[in-house]
Amino acid sequence: MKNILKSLLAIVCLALMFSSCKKQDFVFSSNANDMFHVKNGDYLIPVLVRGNTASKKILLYIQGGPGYSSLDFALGDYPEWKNTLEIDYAVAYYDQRGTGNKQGNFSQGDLVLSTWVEDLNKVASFLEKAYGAEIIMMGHSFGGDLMYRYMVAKGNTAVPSKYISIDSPVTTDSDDDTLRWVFRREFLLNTANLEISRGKRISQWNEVLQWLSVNPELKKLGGDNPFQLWNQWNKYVDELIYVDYPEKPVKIKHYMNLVFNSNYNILAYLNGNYKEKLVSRILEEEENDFLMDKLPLIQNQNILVLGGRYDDICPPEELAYVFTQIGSPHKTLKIIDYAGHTSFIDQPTEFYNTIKQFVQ
Amino acid sequence: MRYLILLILLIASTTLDAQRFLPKSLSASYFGEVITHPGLKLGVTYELKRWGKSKIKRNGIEKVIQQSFDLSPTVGFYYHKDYQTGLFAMPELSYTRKKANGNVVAYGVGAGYMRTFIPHVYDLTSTGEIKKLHEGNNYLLTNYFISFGKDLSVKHHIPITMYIKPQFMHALPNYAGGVTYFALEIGVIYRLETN
Repeated sequence: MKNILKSLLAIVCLALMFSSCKKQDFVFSSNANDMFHVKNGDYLIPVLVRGNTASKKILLYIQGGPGYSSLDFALGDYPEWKNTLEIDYAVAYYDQRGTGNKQGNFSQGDLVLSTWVEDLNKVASFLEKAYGAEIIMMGHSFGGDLMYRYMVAKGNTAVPSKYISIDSPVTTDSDDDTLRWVFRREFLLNTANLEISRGKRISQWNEVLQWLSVNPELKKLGGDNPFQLWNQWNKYVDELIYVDYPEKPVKIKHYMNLVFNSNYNILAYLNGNYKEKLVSRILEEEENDFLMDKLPLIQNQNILVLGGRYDDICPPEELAYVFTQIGSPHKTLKIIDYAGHTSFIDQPTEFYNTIKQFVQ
Repeated sequence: MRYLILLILLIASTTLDAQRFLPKSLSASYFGEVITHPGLKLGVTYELKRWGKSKIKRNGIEKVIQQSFDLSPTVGFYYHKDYQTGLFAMPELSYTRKKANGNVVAYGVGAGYMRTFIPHVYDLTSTGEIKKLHEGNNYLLTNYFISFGKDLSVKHHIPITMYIKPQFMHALPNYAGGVTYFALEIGVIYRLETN
């Protein structure tokens, strides 16, 4: 019995050593793979820094959704940046508060968006200090929205030297946000004309043009079917555009890796009920806090606004307007042809070259 | 309060005797959080109550099923790289059925304490210094399990039962109403008494 107790004690001590041993911190390498937590208040933000930290440039990736986790995106190498961006630079991935691998009894804050902006600032400040690196923020979809909010909130005190907004809409589904469906109508009209000029699905696109001609405004209607125009728009997009630019499927091996070989506790990660509540809080906050009106407050930051020509979630027509609203003179707009809402998947080479040109 | 203590002692005295304070068996197992994140769990088992049931089958052979309620204080840990190391102490209460062929099934629950240790935590202080922190959480831990085993003493006269024990654990307090884990135990039970 004594021997058993001794063995147990030895094993426990070994476990504690594993958990508390000091890692060799922040060694610069062309092939870094550093996983750690950054504390902000009562929350521990999980961060993965991977790639070429010796470049002294870190692309801080801000995940979309809202509510999607970022580390699984990195672990599965969904955008395949291991062989592109991470060769030239380091990419930092972090899970936003309350998403992914959350742990502990932390607070979400009264306003989630402002808490997430503060978390983002903490991660950016930490990375800059720990690696002595230049920070370039790169937000995709909702991540771009969060990045704009960060830029507005932090102004001249912001950490990054540059910003990249990828496929990031600024309009919302709020009834008061009338611009959303103006851009979406323009998008369908321009896409119809473009596709006809390219000789693709001509008869179907002509039907779209005819439908648009009798519906000069896509708005909520009265009666039993108030969303019929929006539903019809979605139907055309799904049938004619989405088929060419679907989401990239995730392979079984990625799921297996996530479940059995990642830092995720899969049951905490899949807490869907909680995630649903968090996402609805975020969307409500977004709708009540018009971002478009605040874009002129972005004064001096250097930003690349990047999108896909066939992106129905963030139409290029909206991006062109966003671009005009940004106050800073240091701005670049790039629309990648033959790309949907994940331009980094649809046109990886052009995406990579565009980022590289901007970052250098 | 003293009446409550008296009542507990009274009940305990009717269900336990001095003999039963000696453990019935010792257990040691691989404890895999999400199966692959390794750990170890050790325990001792005290028998609270045991009874048997026999049936005569159609072919005339008597079928005996042994049943028992057991209490097993356990300690263990798991190591989940880049997430946490969990160290726990948890008594488990189980109902066990053992067939004459040595097949064992047990159902049970446990409740105890868990301390987690979160690796590589840093803070950037207001003065711009990076500080390494030792962080973790204290939890009330419960588990819910079913265990399938084979008693090797029936055919091979070895006082060992091999078992596999899938389980869910729930830890509180944690954001979003607690954190749930899945774990798989694969181990052996060494019987101390000879019955």
